[in-house]
Amino acid sequence: MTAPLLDIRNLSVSLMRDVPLTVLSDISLQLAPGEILGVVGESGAGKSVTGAAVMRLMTRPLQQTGGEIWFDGGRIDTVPESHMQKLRGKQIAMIFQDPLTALNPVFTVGQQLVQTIRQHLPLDQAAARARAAALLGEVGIPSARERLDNYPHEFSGGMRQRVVIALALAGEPRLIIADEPTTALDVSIQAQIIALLVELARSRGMGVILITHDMGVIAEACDRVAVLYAGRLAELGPVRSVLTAPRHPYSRGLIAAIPRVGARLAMLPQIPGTMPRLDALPAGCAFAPRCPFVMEHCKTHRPEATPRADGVQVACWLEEGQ
Amino acid sequence: MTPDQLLADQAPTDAPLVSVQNLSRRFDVSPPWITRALYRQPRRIVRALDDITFAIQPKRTLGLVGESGCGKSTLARCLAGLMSPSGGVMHYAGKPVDLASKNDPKVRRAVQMVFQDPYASLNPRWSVEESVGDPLLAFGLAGSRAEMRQMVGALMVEVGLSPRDAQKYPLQFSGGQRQRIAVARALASRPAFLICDEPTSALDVSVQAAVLNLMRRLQDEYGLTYLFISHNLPVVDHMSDDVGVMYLGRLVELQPTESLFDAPRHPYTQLLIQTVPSLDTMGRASAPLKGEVPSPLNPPPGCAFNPRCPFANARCRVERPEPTALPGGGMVACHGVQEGRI
Repeated sequence: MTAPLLDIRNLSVSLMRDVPLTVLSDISLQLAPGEILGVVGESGAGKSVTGAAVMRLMTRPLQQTGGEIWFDGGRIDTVPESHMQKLRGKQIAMIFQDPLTALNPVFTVGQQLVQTIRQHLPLDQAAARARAAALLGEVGIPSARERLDNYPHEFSGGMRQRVVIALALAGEPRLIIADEPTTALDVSIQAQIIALLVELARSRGMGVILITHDMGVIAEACDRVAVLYAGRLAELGPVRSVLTAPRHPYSRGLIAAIPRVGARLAMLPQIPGTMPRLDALPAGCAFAPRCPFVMEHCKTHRPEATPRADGVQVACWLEEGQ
Repeated sequence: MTPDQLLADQAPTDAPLVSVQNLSRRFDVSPPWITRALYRQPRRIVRALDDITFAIQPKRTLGLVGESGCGKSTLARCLAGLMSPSGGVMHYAGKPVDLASKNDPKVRRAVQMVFQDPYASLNPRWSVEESVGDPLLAFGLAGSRAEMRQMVGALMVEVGLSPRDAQKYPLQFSGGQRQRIAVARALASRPAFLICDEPTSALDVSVQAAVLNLMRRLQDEYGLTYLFISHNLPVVDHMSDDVGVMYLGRLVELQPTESLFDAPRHPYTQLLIQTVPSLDTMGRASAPLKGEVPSPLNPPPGCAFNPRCPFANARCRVERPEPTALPGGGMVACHGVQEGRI
């Protein structure tokens, strides 16, 4: 593997209250240039916090309590905010779930793009406008030049998300963090946006972190996938391996619970119970209370997500042969 | 008393429980008259539902798929009596009904709805007991508050919660639990027909499986008939006996679930099934369907799908296709299929 573009090492994030609440615990992820890494998990598993931590968009009471974040060979979690502002939007950009709230309704799309471009690149008004039109064209908006003068409400949901992607591309970033970019969109439009993200990652050599709860999206777009559970990494590996032969009992349960066209089961396999509250995590493995393969050891000892021989990381005592 | 007994005297079992004929719903979205007069703007009408015809047999599930704005939810609201259709008739157990007119309390009681967002569909200031017990009191199914309390407790157990949970408020529950409460409320009046509008779209996958299993079990137990609306094709495939596909207010295809997914006829259905992201399409982002859903304000003439259809010809652009029956049951509205081109 080439030198990682993004290297998250043992990242922990806590919600600082009277008793600090750990929302992300000891997460390590690497991302190569041009690679698309999926991050899946239930609501509250820590998907979005991971993205926010890399962007340093966490506000109090959320706080990084451990670990390091390296981007392009330099550590970014300790640099001053002024330095981070130069990275944010320029080197690392973010795409949010709801394209309507990510755009300012009182400015035209062109104004927003030109402003963002000139923030990051030394271009004059005319050159920035030409660049804005080129970006809209690149993300697949027809008659891009004319549409620059439209307001966000004049675009459909799918087109708006394309505009948001164009905005993210404005600084020519090397890493894009996409937090549920297709969740608010229709199925046929969702497929278009995923195809666009994959193509951009390949053509520009951009790294993409794709945060989603939709395994179908992961299957189509990602090279590798990280499964989070209760703020911890449960499994990390190539998409094919994790989706067709999941090893962590949680990944297995999660993937079995997804309805598939043509399966025609009477009942869907379901994982008993619910994800524990973060303030009431069990002592050992967080999944132990729901796990069908639970052993005594699991209840007291927390498993590490160590890399196995085949490159898959699984945080499970079953893998240790305990 | 089961819903079956409630209806036993009303309909023979092989007749459809619910049917709609040429159901239409138009919305007037014109600017105010003064604006129209000053700027000479015409009236603008959206045809949210255009000539919808289908029937659902008792104890079966009709799934309904389509993209945002295709009229799925309008159809649900018309059937549930939350709005009046502009045209067409709905039959319930063989009798024409207009649920929005409040003239049919017996039928209103038998038709209930589960909404998409369990955060919005439960009153945050009402305890669960008040929400679930309200239909019991409103329809006079519970004689006293004590009896109501007991029935709410039984309903809570039925949907996998505890009777003690009835004293809590929606705030204290997770999304999946709230949706269970919404199901309990819908079941309270002992309905025969349940309209489910995207009941699991707001839920996580693992929670979705539990809610879908619950709905399946309740259907078997109480002999419920479902109209199951979702944009998620695998979920619809899992839940439905028959599936209808809507596009811009029209029903373009309706088939038994297996034939629809194995041999879709309408080009829109075909493309929809191809583009659904699934675990089996790994590593290749499927060739996405080009173009967008046209604005319902200004639908294209002829077949509404013609601007995106790879098979469209001159006829498709001017003449609207009428539904034609398919040999295996069901129907499709497509000139190409009619002419044997597709």
